[in-house]
Amino acid sequence: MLQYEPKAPYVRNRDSAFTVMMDVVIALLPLYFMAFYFYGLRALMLGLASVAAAVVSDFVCILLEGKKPYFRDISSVVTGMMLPLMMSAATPYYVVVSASVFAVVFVKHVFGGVGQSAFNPAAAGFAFAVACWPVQVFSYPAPFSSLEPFGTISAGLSSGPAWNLFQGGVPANDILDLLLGRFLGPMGLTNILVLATCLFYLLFRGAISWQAPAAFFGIMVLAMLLFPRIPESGPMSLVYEATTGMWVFGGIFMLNEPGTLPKRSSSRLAYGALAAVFTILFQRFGRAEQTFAFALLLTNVFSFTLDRYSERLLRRLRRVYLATRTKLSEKKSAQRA
Amino acid sequence: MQQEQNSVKKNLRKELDLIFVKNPVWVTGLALAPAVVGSFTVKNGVGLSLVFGMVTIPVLVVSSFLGMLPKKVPQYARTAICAVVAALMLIPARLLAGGIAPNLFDSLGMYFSVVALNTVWIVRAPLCQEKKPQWALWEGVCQTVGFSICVLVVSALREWLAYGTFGGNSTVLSVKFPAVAYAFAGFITVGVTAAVLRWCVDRSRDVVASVRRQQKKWRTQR
Amino acid sequence: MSGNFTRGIILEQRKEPALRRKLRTFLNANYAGMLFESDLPYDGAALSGKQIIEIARLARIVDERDGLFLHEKLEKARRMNVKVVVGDAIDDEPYVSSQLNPLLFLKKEAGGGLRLAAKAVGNPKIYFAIYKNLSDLDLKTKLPKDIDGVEIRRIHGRYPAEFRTMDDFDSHGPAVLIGVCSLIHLYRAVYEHRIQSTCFVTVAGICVANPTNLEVSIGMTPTQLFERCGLAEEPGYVVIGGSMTGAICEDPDSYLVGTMSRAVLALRDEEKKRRYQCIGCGRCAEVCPENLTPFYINRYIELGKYETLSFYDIHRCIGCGTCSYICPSKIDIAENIKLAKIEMKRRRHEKEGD
Repeated sequence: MLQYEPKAPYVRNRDSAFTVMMDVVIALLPLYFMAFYFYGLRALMLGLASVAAAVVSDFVCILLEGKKPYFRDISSVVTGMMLPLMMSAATPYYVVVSASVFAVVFVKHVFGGVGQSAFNPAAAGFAFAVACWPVQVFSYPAPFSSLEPFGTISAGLSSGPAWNLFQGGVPANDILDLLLGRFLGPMGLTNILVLATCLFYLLFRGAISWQAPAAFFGIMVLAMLLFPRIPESGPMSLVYEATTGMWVFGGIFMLNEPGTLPKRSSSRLAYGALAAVFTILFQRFGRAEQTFAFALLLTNVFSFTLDRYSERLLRRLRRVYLATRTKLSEKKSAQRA
Repeated sequence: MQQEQNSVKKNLRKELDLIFVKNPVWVTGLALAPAVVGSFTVKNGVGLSLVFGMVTIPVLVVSSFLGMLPKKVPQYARTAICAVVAALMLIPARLLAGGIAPNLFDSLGMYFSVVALNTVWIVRAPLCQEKKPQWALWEGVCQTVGFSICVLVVSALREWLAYGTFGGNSTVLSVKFPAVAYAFAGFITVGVTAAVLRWCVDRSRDVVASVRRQQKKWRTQR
Repeated sequence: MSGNFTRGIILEQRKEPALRRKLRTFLNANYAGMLFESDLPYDGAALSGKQIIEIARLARIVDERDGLFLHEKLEKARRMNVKVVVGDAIDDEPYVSSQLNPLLFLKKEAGGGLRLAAKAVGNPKIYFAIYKNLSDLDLKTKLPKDIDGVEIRRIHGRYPAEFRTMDDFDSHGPAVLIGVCSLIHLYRAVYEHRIQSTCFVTVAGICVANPTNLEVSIGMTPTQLFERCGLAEEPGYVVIGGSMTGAICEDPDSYLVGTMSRAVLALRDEEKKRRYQCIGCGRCAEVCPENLTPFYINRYIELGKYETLSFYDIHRCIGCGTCSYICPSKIDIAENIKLAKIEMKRRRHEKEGD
């Protein structure tokens, strides 16, 4: 009669891993919409190619591991969707496909699969693409220029405001253009207002927790206000950096990847702060114009250590809590007696 | 006489395992640093194997002679003598490397000298002190063959993927992955090839076992 | 006062319609009206505290939440000089209302029983405790402010609430929680010299046609109870106990329902559950009421490394099942922890045995 014996508890939450990952997919769709609006069909085709490559390599790896493939496990779809958004819309197909395959095979499956990976697969895939083909990843077409969906691009490619900031100069773009995303930059990361909406959607759906993004964005904003790296005032520098940098997207989608994020609130706060510190250091002393992925890979290393330290702290707190409770109740009973 | 011949064959056969089944880099993980970082072109791979051979074989033979020293000589002194021998062997290695290709020494950089103090002889030298010199020599040869195969395979793969060339001659490869020349890809390549080797060894063991089972069945049937 | 910011989860209570329905009896003819022999009077006012405890012993009353004999509990409370006696009607698990429903429908007996227990202990303050977070109850059943003159204290906070209840009464001094059903049996024991031969269970679940609270004779089988209440469809599995902490009944035809059963549930899985791998979301650590980190405990159990488990304070786990409830990958974390504790004990005994 029973196909498998269920174990206590016999009521379960309605959310499943599928709905959690679906929330992230839904949050990424508006970014693809923006990419389509700016760059046309090629953006969607790149996304499709990346997702297809991720899903196929995921499938092959699962078969090689001897497990049964489960189509509701869409973590590879999430990785595949995130990768092209960080790159230029004119990137050749082989770049996104190989970054996708590298991320899924060598960063996700080699370490054990979903939730077991030590590093964020999307960040590692992007890092691989930057290490292999920095020119292709960082040459952007102008928004609203017509791009061929397949084959070589005939539109002119150049570097955007992020390159100006990297060199230490002030971008020449209009502030309104920057805020609305109408400048040369990665395919899906340019519009900061859409990104903010995605952040609130994820927060209210409960797909991400508030501690890591709060610490990360808090320290980044403070650093940009107080120590700008370009000769501009604090708030202006913040506007330039936030609209052109990859770290806003990273702080929302890549920082909170469930497998690599620490599990306790205190360690999440420390993790977000550490990620911010590393991002700022990479911005000052790094050798590429978009360096959040590298900073994130470095922070991922500390995730387990932070959890260990917070566990030690919590052990002490639990014992203190128990000791004070018994002491208080003993004191009260002594008073009454 | 027959027994002696059998033991000779056994000793010869035992060390042959070092080439694949107990490969020093792929299976035991010794001498990883030069094998991973230095092997991004075939020329480099050849150079690494050369230096490895020219250093390890003499050191193992010397340590076998060191086994004849009185017991009072402490182990660290014996290892120090081996290290001096290894360092001295770098000189002819350098000359030979210059003869093979002009900039081999420069492209290998520091890993040319790191190979001199590789973990293979550091681990095996104390054990070779119990052996006779000819067996130490044979072990050194087998270790070198194993190391060379590993390094040549890995460096061929990496050069092909990163630059599209093989030994300096370009081949057909539409997409090149320049990052494969970096160290992280070296680790990944060594790991993947080690997994492939493990799979091949397991499959060959299965084949050998099934053949033996079949032979036993025929023998009992007769 | 443990407030609304406690850790844990908010559960859909699913207590209707069983809670609203009148308590019904379903007895075996053999067991009805078993009495014990005693010379003591049939009046609570005439008895002393020690005599009440003696009656509890003769009637063999068992507290339904912790399985202790009532007379032992009262004796210990008397020795420890407790200042508060609380009638426990906290049914914080979904479907279960086998303490709350008798409290609402047998008011005189519950109040009288609580007063008798208080007299046995030394006349401290008395309260009834009912769980506050009953989300869908406010529509159908109105909970009164007091039962038979005894004040009702609402316990705030999320599930699990039972283990936190003592904190609410800490301000008055040491307290003892006694289950309401055993208080009802105490009242009957004093006024009618009745041995406890019945227990209160909730028969509920998706597959039950008429969920009800029943007073059943001890020793009836779940199949008989389902015949009494009617099954709307074939159940996938039968659960004895609470829906969060209960156990599966392997053989409903021969299992004997007792005082600790509390609920007999006929359930069916609403959707085909296939388990995912742990995605590392950390929700389990966010909801654990004891502030443990079930993620790491589960990970080390899967890896078989039992030595690190005591670093993660596995022995403080109260088995509430909150982590398994919230897990989006539907991993049975609470079950794994329970089995791991048994395995650790076995290994410790093995090591000491050598």
